[in-house]
Amino acid sequence: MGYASNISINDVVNITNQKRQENGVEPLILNETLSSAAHSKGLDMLEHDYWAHVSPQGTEPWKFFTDAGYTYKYAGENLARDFSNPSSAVDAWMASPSHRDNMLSGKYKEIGVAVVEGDLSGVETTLIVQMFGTKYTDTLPSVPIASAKTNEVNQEKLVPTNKPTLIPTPTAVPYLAVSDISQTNSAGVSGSRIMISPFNTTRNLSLVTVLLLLTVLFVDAYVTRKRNIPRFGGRVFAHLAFLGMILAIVLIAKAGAIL
Amino acid sequence: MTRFTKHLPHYTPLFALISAGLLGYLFFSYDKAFQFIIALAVSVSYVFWGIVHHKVHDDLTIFVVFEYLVIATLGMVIVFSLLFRA
Repeated sequence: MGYASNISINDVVNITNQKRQENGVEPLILNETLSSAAHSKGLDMLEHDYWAHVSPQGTEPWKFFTDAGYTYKYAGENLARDFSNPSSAVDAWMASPSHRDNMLSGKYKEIGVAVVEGDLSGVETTLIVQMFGTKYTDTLPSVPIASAKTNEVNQEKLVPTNKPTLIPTPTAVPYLAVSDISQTNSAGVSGSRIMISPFNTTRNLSLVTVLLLLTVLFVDAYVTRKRNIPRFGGRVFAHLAFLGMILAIVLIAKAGAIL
Repeated sequence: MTRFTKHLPHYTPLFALISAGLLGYLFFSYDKAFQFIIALAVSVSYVFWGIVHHKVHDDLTIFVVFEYLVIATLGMVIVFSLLFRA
């Protein structure tokens, strides 16, 4: 039983920028190097079967930035999985204070997004990796060429202030364009695969179970009351209230997880 | 109506508990671990509410406790299956 969803990278970027504009922050520019880094991170999660910012081998997200050749001043990462559409994923990030901070941070100028599908812990999964960054060079003060030499010392003194400050030598990596990633994804979800969402199946089954139990309890309460049958047991009204809460949770439950 | 009013002091904490649980579940939708704790706390509190309620009414039996435990367990299983499905 597999499930995969067709999520467009451009939609994730557009919705993110829409949220930024709604909050008075400059929109981010889609950077293909960052998208390549995000794609590598997604593949790494599938290959090493983990769902975390730091891999079980101890690989931190910043390594994917630098490996892709993105020398950052500021860097951030948001992860999402199993969302059926991009707006649900973005909404979930916006609801979480730390992810929201990443999305709305004015420190970031660029964004890279990758949607990767594959087997994660035995479940067909769609991962969305969102990487934010500002190039180290973008933060250096622009100086006329003539005076650049005299400012060399000052430039060397400029120290990045945020946590991911390591700036290793960029390494050449096989470059994967955003369009290539999109093609890979669309190829992955098309074809004759039967797509059944494990979440929706569980949700529907839960819905049927709760509704059935609520009906039985309601009929039981009605009949015993109508016929004045003495009933020794728990309070049906309390059970109805508790199961009503469970029903509400089932109804509001949405697929997907963020990290 | 009189019967309902009579039970109001008992049902008010139950409704408060359920409402708080539901609101907490909604508010912390981004934190699955916290949602898990909320669901667990509401279910355990529900069983305790049942025990206290029936003890006060002098009709507490092992079957009543079992009934509340079964309902609470079923509710927890449903919520956890949704939480950890995706």
